[in-house]
Amino acid sequence: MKGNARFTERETGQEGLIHMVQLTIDDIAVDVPDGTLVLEAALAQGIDVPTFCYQKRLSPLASCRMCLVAIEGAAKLQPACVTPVMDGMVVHTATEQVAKIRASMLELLLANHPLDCPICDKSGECELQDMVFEYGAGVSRFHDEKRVFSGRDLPLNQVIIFNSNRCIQCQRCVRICEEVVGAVALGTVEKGMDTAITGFENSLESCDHCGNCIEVCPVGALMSKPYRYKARPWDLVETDTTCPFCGTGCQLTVSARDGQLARVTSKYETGVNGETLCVKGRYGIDFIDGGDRIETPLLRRNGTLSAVTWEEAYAALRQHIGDPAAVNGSRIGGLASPTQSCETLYVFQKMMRMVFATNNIDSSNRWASGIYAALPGLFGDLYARRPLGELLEADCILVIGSTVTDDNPVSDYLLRGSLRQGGSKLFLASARPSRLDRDAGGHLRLLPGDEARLIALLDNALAGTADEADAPLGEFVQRIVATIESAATVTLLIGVDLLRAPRAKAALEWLERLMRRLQGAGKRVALQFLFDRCNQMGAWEMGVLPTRLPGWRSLGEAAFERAWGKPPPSEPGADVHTMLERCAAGEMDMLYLLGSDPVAAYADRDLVEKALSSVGLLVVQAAYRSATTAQADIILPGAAFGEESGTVIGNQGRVQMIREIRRPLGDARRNMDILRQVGEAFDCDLGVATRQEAFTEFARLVPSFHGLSLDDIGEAGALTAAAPRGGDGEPDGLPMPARSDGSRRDDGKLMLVTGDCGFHSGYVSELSTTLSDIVGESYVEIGLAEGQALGLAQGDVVIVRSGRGETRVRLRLNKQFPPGVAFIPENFAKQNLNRLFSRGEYPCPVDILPDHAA
Amino acid sequence: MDGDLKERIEAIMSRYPTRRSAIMPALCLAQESGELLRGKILKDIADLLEVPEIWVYEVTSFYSMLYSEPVGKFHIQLCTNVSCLLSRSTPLLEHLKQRLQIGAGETTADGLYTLTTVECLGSCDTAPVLMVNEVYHENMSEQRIDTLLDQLTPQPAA
Amino acid sequence: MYEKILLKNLETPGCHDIRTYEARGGYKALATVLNDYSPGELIELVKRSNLRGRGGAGFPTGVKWGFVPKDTDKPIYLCCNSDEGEPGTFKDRALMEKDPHVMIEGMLIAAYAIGSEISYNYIRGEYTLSIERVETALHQAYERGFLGKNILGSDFSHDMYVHKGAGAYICGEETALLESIEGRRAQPKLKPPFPAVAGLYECPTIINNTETFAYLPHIVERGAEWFRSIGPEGSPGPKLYCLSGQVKKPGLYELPMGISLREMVEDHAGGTHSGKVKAVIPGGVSAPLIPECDLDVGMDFDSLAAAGSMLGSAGVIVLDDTACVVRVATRIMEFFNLESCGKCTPCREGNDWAAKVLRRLEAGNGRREDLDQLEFLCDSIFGTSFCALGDAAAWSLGAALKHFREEFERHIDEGKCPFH
Repeated sequence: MKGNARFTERETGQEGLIHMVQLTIDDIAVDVPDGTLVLEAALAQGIDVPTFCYQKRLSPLASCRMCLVAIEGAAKLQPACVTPVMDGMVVHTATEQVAKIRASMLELLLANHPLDCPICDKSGECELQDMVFEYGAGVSRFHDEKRVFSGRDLPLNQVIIFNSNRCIQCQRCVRICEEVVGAVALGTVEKGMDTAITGFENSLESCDHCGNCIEVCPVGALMSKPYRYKARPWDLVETDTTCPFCGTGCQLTVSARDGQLARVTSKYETGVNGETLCVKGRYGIDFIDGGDRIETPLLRRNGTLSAVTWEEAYAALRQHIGDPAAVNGSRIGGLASPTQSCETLYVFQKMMRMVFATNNIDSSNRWASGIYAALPGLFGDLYARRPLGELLEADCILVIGSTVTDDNPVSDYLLRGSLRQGGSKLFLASARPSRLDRDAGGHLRLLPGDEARLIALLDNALAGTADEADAPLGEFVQRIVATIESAATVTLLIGVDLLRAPRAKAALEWLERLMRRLQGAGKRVALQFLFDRCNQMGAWEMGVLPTRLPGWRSLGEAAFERAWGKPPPSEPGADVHTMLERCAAGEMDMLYLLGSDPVAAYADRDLVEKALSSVGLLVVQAAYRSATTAQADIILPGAAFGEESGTVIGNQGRVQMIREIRRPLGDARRNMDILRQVGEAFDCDLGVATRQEAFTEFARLVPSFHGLSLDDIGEAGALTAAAPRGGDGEPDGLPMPARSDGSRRDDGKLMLVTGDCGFHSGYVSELSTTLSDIVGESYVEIGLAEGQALGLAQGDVVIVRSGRGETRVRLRLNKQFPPGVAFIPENFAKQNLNRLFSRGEYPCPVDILPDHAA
Repeated sequence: MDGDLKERIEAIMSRYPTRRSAIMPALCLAQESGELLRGKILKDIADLLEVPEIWVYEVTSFYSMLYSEPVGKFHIQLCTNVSCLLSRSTPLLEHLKQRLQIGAGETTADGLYTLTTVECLGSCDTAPVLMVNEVYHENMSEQRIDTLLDQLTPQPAA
Repeated sequence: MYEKILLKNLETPGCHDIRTYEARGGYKALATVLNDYSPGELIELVKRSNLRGRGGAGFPTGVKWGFVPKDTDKPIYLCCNSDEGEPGTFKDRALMEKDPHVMIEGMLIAAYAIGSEISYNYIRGEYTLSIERVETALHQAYERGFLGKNILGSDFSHDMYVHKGAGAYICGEETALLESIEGRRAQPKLKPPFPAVAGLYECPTIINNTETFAYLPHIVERGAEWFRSIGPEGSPGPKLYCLSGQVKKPGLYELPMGISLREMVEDHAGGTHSGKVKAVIPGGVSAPLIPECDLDVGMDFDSLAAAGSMLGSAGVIVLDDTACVVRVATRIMEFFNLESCGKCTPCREGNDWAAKVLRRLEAGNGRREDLDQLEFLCDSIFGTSFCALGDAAAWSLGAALKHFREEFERHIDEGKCPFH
């Protein structure tokens, strides 16, 4: 073997023989792994080689010719971006000839490129400007007529506007749309000088609107319509923060001009997302300027809410609950939103436990009951707190219960990247189609609730236990088995659909069992959830759980008495379902809601309404008015996203910063401060005066945070540590989960599922003007054939009716959709979708009827 | 999509291991069956082949013999490349413009004739050469052009 | 007189019909190959013949076949490049219209040699009659059992299809041809990997020109030594030359290689209309023109390369002394501008810039600086473009500027074309 061979321990812990190559670049001796490109080797040495069409993540093109370098022995200059290094190669990147050619290429581009700098958005951060400044001649010799495609910029959709004259044909936009996003909406038409990039018949109406094409455009050809003409890059004040939407945890750079939100971009080398974002992160942040904000504390007196001071609000709360020493914790409950920061959530659960003596706390309106018993086993050593990209190098990847393309688009991009190594290792099982299905090793449509059975069958198949043939689940299991048996590494990604369905607890228990079995067979397994909220994992790690303390530690662990000064309550608490039931039965004195909106979100509207009208006192700490605040007795205005800093934990178990970009609006206060002040109102000092102190305190108590300090949370965030094996030991004697009740299909009903659509996340994104411009109202989606059989057409207004209630929406027909399934996104509060659902039943059977009144 | 066209496209799909390969033949078949290559027919082809619409659009626009704008009943394509240029294609172009009263790249008002200049047709030894639709006409001259046009649209008897 | 090899059938009416073709000895070579040769032996035969590709690059055919991996489990594809778009060239059209079976038989021989079970003949869309004749010929060949399963009772099976082009010169570039078949925009691909290793659908693929295939049955019948005995050692075998432009006897000529260009033009093609040659383009417009003073150059791969030009597609276009080189050079640059695929910066932008300057200069509105610009453009495009189209544009203009600079200067100084 030529060259030096070295043993190198890679991040994944695998040892391997890496063949090293020695070459010379600009008289510098360079030692790099075989397969490295000359361009990469040069850049690693700090040698600047200009490129337009090259982008690390994208397929090589070598069309711009900027990176041409001289290689001894080659007659022509060679493009460094596609030339692999070879032993003994001698490269020169700074010869006169190379300089001349770079200047020539730039002069050729400038011949037709319009000198629009004064009116072009990109000016100041334009790669063409930068390159001409660095490598170009000062004068252009071209005096003839420039080629002009159009005198006007062409809007391709609501967020993308295009100036074709400026395009330099680098094809980054086309490639990112096809290879990373997978939408394949952009293409190239005509040839020669008429070559232009565009969408089908000059429209991008039906693309993802993610704007990644704009992000990678080196010039001002593709522009962001909401940002156009708003600012110059040097006017902008940038704040790096984490996306508030799903759990992927993309790093955002939020830019403001004179305090006004101007745009959101991302830094290429940072975060799980790199240069990409999805439409929600890129265009949805303007939700902070939308919605009905609560600017002062409000108190309900004689049926109406009126503005009061903070002192009055706290006094009213104290008066209602009475003597803190006599508080009956079992009659008090709290619900916090998993979009709050770790610091806030930590103080929340501390407040509920120490001030109100209760473990009745929860962090979600939407999950099935019983899952908290099964979770601890999965969040110990089984949860891989590692970059998602690493997990996707596994020999077998199972994605269960997630419509990744809609719920976690940027995670979908990474999964697509992993397919390039061989799609046959990826298997997806979900209710709704995802864009990855087509290229995966196998995909299965299964109703929420069937995940448990799928995992159980897989576990049995690996255990060698014969099962009755159970098409299509059984067939799918056999396909997975063929791959998983020879796999050395296995990654499981679990979505939120699995958590919603009634058999969620069984699914999680079987999941743990499956993973232990794979471990026992000598495989390295990794688990991550694909959460659809930015800090669901943080909420759990911070102990917003009825049966666990921070760090998944058991109620009654001595460390907390030492840390908090007195022991927290040891009686296991009620989850959201039980809390609401007790409220409805008149057994609860107070419900404290932090950012939560159960009236809109809880999957049983009747129960919620009964509960909230029957509870003794409803306290809501929130930023926005909602159907829930309309019921509240005391409203405490909290800071919204961007008005306070804190940490969040994303799906990868990575702690990242959310940073403030402005002060809380009006009289609103930071959420953590409010919670402390509530404590004070009850004569309780919660101890943590600042978020930094909160971090320090919980870092000592939460095992996965041991050794981490806020200083460690740099640009890349910091991975929490793998926790010790958790759980109460493997449950034995798990019964085979039943098949879901598909028999409903015989009566012609469809099974209604819900979740995020591709353009919205949770309940705040509809406050975004830009996102609402793209998708501004709800809809029901069913299969094309199904719609035709019902005699319905795309766009018809229909009534979707369940046994409990109905709603009126427009119909969407989707060829890829499975028969018997209907989907309505849960992002539109006014749709009152939860009127159709009843507790414990998910999905719910519905009829779809034409709306004759329409 | 017309059932007959669909069948012919499906037959040609079987020649290739990927569906994308059938885009170009499908467009040719559609054009041959009288379709103008824009709008719905492109979507139908994309649908039948299960490929993104943009791929069909890209291919349509790349090739000069695939038309997304209407072409006259008789498409006169005059070669103006070197051998034909050296054999007097320039005066012949002028003659055609004069006879048809349109410029290169234009269509007569009655929709009968479209006149375009094209690149080498591979008949250089019989220059100057032109094509009318799919048929070659070689060794052309002003007189032979007049005869040709008279044959295509006979003048009414005086 | 030279023995007619390909011209024999081309000049006999009815050879496009398989009955005539067979009666004249056709498909015997195929039988010989299936009976007497292993694929490896066949490759050796073609290597020994030193047959060089007739599409333009002149790469040794047998050597190219040898690059196909022996131990692959991927399907192996064969393609015939019948896109013949190089201006000045019409030999492949003649073969397809008048003797399509020799091409088919040649393709079958090649397919057997490399282990291919499927081939595509990429025929440019304008060649309506060729397409018709080849489709009919394929149909006839299937009926006679020369195509399909177990050909002539052997283990060798093969399917052959026509893939119609739709008007794009760049499809003549072999990797662009592959992209076109795959349903993409016909833009050249990165090499390496070379098509023989990863071509059509990322599988091993051999692409040869129509005329190249046509020689294979003859090589099989008469042997490698016979083939090598014709013409110079470096460029053996007969060759079809396409004569056009301002010559008295334009047409298809079959001559051994090595014959001087002067002899070809003056003796065989009857000389020019005006009686004096100004320059000759020897191998399609991609080949730099040869001025009259250099006309004694031998018409073969190596001699023309040494003279700063190339044999290319053997499209011989003759300019007499009434022709305007500037007009011809302008038209050629316009051609390359229109046919550029648009992928790389130098060809897309450079050809356009050059065409604009040349048009203005040709019309009499040029300036002396324009010549500097044109030279700058030639320097910037040659050797930097992604494929040979850019090189060809720069190379051909460069030769015109080098040999006929005073014609350009006269256009500038006189404010008009001195020839019209």
